[in-house]
Amino acid sequence: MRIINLIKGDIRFQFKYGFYLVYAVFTAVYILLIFVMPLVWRERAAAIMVFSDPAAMGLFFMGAIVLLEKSERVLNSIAVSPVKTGEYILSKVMSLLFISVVVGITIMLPTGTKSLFASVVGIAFGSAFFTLCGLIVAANISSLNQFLTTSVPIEIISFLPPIFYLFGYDSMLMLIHPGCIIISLISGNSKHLFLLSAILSMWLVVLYFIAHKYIRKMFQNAGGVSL
Amino acid sequence: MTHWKYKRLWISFMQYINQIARDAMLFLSCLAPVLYGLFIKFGIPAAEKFLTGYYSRKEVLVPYFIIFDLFLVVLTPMMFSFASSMVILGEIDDGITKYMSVTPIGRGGYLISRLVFPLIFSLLVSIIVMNVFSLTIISLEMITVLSFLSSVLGFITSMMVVSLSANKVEGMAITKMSGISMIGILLPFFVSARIQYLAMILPSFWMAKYAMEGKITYLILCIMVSVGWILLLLRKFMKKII
Repeated sequence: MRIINLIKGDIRFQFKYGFYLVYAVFTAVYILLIFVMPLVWRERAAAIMVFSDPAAMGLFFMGAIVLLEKSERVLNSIAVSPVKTGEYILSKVMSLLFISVVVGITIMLPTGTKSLFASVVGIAFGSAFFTLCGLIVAANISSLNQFLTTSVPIEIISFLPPIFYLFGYDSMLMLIHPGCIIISLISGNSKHLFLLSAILSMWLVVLYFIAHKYIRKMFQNAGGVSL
Repeated sequence: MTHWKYKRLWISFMQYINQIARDAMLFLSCLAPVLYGLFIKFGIPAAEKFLTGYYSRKEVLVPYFIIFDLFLVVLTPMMFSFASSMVILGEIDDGITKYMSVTPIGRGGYLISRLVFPLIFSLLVSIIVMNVFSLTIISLEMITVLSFLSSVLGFITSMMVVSLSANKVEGMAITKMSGISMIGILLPFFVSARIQYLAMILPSFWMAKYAMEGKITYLILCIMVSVGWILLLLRKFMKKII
């Protein structure tokens, strides 16, 4: 029950701060852009747009979310409440996953995808992956500019190989890279779905433990003193 | 303004520079235009060579070279605008702006040290970057005017982000939203019908028209639209920093 309330609280927070409005506008712009493109480009363009924006929104917004929680003393309250570190992480992941999947499907549906199920799985994994990366960075920074400069290298490492992969450099070796698997799933490739999901799950478990370590440390240091 | 007034503004500006230097944002703001410049200077002509061979056409990307230039000219001010917005939002959240407004710097001085000075700095970087990496042969006057217009655009974007957001999260959402204004650069090139004038409230639209045709009317319209935005946002911005 506690986790449901946390997720609801996070979704309410995201709604209040305009995430849903921003993404309503961006969804319309993306669909418009896709439809003015030549037919042969549409599928790839839609996959890149969904991968780099709604799926990766956690990496873009997490710094601001955590910093605001720090300055509003929300983290101090959470630290002394029965909420566990894992629940805090899960709530952030699930709330952003919800909006990512809704926006991602809305963009993918009109452009057409080979397998909607694979696309949804890809967006969900992508969202969780980038939110966990965002949380790891956010737990270690003290300003938004610092968050941006730290997240840029992660964005380059996460975004460039998948784009090369999508444009033809599709060696099996590339599938070690989580971004390549995610973009492959988002573009509707349902081949080896189970295996690819298993690889991504392993990545998520690793990232979860790293995020857990840093978020726990952040809670212990809330208020400027080590608890 | 007396000498000591300049001095305190300078000190406040140096505090800002220290902040963004500490976060490596200063380095990134200067590095990003250079990397993009290298990409367009060497990557785009190479891509053009490949595409003209592949499609057996005389030119493919050449008519759009100026778009790459326009994105280059707005990149530096946009990076500094983002850095300024985030510093200001952080200072609002931490209550520092309230203290600043009762110091001899005042609200006006705060605006100058956090927005005007950074954009003068970005204007200089922009002129240098454009001179080195510009794809189309345009004059120094044109480069200076375009750099000035994009610095004003960065100023407006920062004012908008700070004025319309109540905190850092809303600030990020509005920063993302403000990215749509860059569509004004593309419209004159890709939408020939009158429908393109729907973007007439965007300074970037008139800037692109001016870069395309060089007509002074477009330059005046760009300045008028920009001044309109500044007047619209100034009062809200000033209220926000107390």
